[in-house]
This record gives sequence, structure tokens and C-alpha cells, in this order.
Amino acid sequence: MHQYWGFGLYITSEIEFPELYPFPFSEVPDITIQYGNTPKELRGEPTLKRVDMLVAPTEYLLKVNGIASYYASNGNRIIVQPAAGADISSVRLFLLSNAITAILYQRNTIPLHASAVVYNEKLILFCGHSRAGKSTLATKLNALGYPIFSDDICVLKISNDDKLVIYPSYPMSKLWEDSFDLLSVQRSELNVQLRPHLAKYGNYFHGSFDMLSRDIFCTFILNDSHPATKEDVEIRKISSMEASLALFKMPYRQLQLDGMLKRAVNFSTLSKLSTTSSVYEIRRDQNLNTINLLAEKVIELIHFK
Amino acid sequence: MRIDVAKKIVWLASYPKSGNTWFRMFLSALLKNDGAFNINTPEIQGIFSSRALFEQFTDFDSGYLYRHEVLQLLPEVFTEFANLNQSSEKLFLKVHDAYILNEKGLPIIPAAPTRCAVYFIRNPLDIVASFSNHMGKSFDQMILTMNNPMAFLASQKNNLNNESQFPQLLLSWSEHVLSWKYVTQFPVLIIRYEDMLADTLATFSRITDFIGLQASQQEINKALATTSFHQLKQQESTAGFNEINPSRSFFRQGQAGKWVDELTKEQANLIISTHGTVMQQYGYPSSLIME
Repeated sequence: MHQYWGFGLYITSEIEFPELYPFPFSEVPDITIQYGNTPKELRGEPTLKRVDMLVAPTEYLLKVNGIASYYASNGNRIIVQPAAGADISSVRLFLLSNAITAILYQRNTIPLHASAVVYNEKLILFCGHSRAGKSTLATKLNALGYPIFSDDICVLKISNDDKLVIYPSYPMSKLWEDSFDLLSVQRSELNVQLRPHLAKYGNYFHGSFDMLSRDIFCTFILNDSHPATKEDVEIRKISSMEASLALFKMPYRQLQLDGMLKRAVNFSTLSKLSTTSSVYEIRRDQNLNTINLLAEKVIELIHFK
Repeated sequence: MRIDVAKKIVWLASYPKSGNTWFRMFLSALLKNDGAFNINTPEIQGIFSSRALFEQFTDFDSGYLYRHEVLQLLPEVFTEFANLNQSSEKLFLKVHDAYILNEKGLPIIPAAPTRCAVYFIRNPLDIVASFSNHMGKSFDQMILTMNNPMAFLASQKNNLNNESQFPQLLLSWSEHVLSWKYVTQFPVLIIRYEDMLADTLATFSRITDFIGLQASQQEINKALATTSFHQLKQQESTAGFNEINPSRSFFRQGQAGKWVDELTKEQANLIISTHGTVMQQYGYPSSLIME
């Protein structure tokens, strides 16, 4: 069995994950990932059914045609049944993007759709939906000296002493091919394709991976529904109430959250985030490459904050 | 074929730039019926190719899925879409995709939740300039697209998969028309854009009757006035239109027969020689221009 640290949890797995951070441990694992036969139905009554997905408060079942079925239960166990001849990188991708988040919700933690970089030992979060530009911005800031803490998902939970705790997911950032062009960098041989026919590439950062949680410095929300109207890049501080309303929509895999009846956990966790840190909204002219200007404006703001 | 009124989805189908948006705007105004119509907040439910809509009914980040995987899921997605909108009597969805089958041999447009479809057809000679303006490409490039049996809308190169809409297979213009014309699983009403222009009230009334919308002539006239070409263009020039790159204008001229002034003889003949058979069926010029 392979042992890893990821999403703030001890993971033991029959599947080898080059994406995860290898970490030998003697404790009881938080999550066990095993090959096996996934059930056809949930044991309990589903609270939410969608295409090829069933969810109940402590169970999650997903079928990805031609790839695998995944069954995640009780916050501690994932069973994977790969399809015959399935590409293993695809099997791993849907496990890391779907089955793991089900486990996180089952454990009353919130997988926030956010990338994060480190500034003065604290975290700057960039929240946004898919294709909003989180990873591109984090990669740009990483190149300017602000190390990437986590890409795409940050795991949030409220500790026993009522503090907000934020863990990274795993040491790989992911970029679409066109983001390399936006950043004016060459894709290297070290970048790994997430699926064989997908132009999205992972970049490992195991060497600088931060296992521990960090305090929050500030939060940015990338608004991709409303473009900037006055300048190429507009950043404005938003009120705690406005921030809460925007952040409530930012957990990764919202359907899982609803199906597992975690709206109260989502509310308390993200309310804590909105009151613990300043929250800013970013709007951009979506027809321009604004990455350099955006990075400059973010850096200027955090230095004068 | 009779319409099954228990089913909800009404597809508003067309090749691009064929009157679909005009009808959607009219429909929005008719359904809203308070005179406060806004082109950027139509009262209909979306577009078939929307990733955001797809992601509401699956647990996937659609960017991680291959095209054939998406096509397999689409029929189930829109069946689920109808199931979860039980309170709505009708659900209107725009679609530019040709009516094709997925790898399982199933139509990507599911019959189970489909009430009917309205297919808007326009003289392809007039589409050229309008499509060119919309895409920011030359007339010759658009003619190549319209004649290409494997043409896509919103396609991405080199396995990129991160636009807000899925790539849509159009086929060639003729094949697009025929793919919808020969649908047997639900009723399809074919409407000529030129008839929408020339005999507006009668043509729009025919569509609302077909769909099963209860609307008086007065209500239809009011919705038509609110969404006249002039009104739509004016709203676009003051507030912009979120269905097109802001550097271009969506509502261009909206006229029929302008191709005579826009296309060269060679350009027109490239369209006619490829699509003449289908053009003739719908009363469009189908003889090659000799002079």
C-alpha cells in the first residue's frame, strides 16, 4: 500500500498517485483507497440523483463511462472499480477531482474552489469557478516569488477551538496549454498531461509542498460572470456580507455539498473565512491578456494592505 | 406527427445567423409581457452547448471530459434538466448543433423530454456576410465553413477544452438543414427567416400556435414591437449584447437578399454549387450565376 499526505489527511492507497505527497505514517489512515466492486446502488436512500451520480449524507457513487466507478463512504473509504482497459491517469484524475471531495464533505470539511499562494507566511486565496483563471494567476505569482500553496482546491475546516484551518490539496498545479502562452512560458517535459487527449498539464511541486495549515492573509474572488467595465483590471474590497454571499457559491462540486446536506457546514466555514480576512473581487476585460497587470495589482494591494 | 404536450423541451434550432436570436428575443418579450424586455436577460432557459448548464446536472468539471464522453452524457443531461424543472410547462432551449447521433447510436437531442422543435432556415447566401461579421472572419473563410461537412462552431485547437461552450458540430449548411428536417422522433416546424421578415405577424403566430403558446394577436404584436430589429440594435448599441464579442455587432442588418451587393459571383456560386439542391427546396436561388 502507498502512503500519502494530502487534503490535510493521511491517505493509504492501493493505487499509486504521483500527484500526491508521499508520506510514511504509522497512524490509522484517514482515508483508504482500494480497488474493488462498487455497489450498483447506495445503501441508504439517495438525497440527490444526477446523471451517473448518486449522493446520500455518508455515501457517494459516481460512474465515469469507460474510466471507472467510484464509491466514497463514511468519510474514510474510497472503492474504485476501473473499466476494462481504462487509462490510469484518467482513473486518478476523477478520483482526485470527485471521489476525494465527497470524502471531504463527509468529514465536514469544505473543499473550496481556490488556488493559494504564500505571502509573509500567510495565505492569499484566489477563489473562482472552473476556467476563471485561478491557476494561471497563482502560477504567475509563484514566478514572482510567492510560492504556490495549493492549486484549484483548498480544504477549509473549523477547528475544535473555533479557528479557521486551511490545508493544501496536493503538490500539483494544472494549466491549460493556452495558459502557458498567456504566461509567456514554455511548457517543459516535466509537465504531465492530465489525460492522454487533453491539453491540460500538471506541474509537480513536491519539493516545496507545505504540509501544514497556514493562517489567511486575504481572499480574492475572480468574478468571471461580470467583466470589468472601466479598466482592464478592477479590484475592489467587498463587504463581509457581500463576501459571504459570493463565497457560499465557491465550494468545489456543489452538487455533492447539497446531496450530503452540508449547507450549514458551508455557511459556518465560509462565514468564518469572510470575517477572518479581507475579501476582494477581481473583474477583468475578458478579451485581453491581463495576467501581468492583474499580478501587479494584486501585489501592490497586498503590500499596501 | 402530433406534439406530446406532456413533454417540456422546445428546441429552437438553427444554423448560426438564421433568425434564432430574433425569435428568442420575441419569445422572451412575449413571456415577460411587461414591456421591460432586456436582450441580456432573456426569459428562456439557455443553450444546448452551455458547459455551465451541463455542469448543473452532472458532477463533472466538463473541461476534463472528451467530446465523445460529453455527447454520451448530453441526452441524459437534458432529460434530467426536464425532470428537475417539473414546475415549468415548457422549457425553451437554443441549439446550433446538427441533429447527430453519439457513439451509443442515440440522438444527442433526447426525444424523451422533447415536445417539439422549431428550425429556422435562412438563405445561405445571406448568412455569409452575417456569419463573417459575427465570427470576425472573411467571407471566403465563412464559405469554407458553410461548405465543410465537418464544420464546428466554438471549436478549440490542439485538445484545448476550456471555452464556456462545448464545440458544436454544424456539418455543412445543407447537412445541418437535412439533419433537422428528417428528425422523426418529435415534430419539427421549419420556418424561413425570409418569411419572418416579409409576413411577420402570420409567421410568428404560426410558430406560437405550433409550440402551443396561448397568445393573442395583440400580445404577439406588442412582443414584436418590443423586439423589432431597430429595438434590438438600439439595446445592443447602448448596453452591449453578451452573446458576441463586444468589438462586433450582433444585430447587423437583418435583411433578406443583401447578398447580391455583398458577395462576388464566384463566392455566390461556391455556395450555390454546394447547397443548390437544398436551397431549391426552400425557394432560395439555386442556379449558378453566369453573368
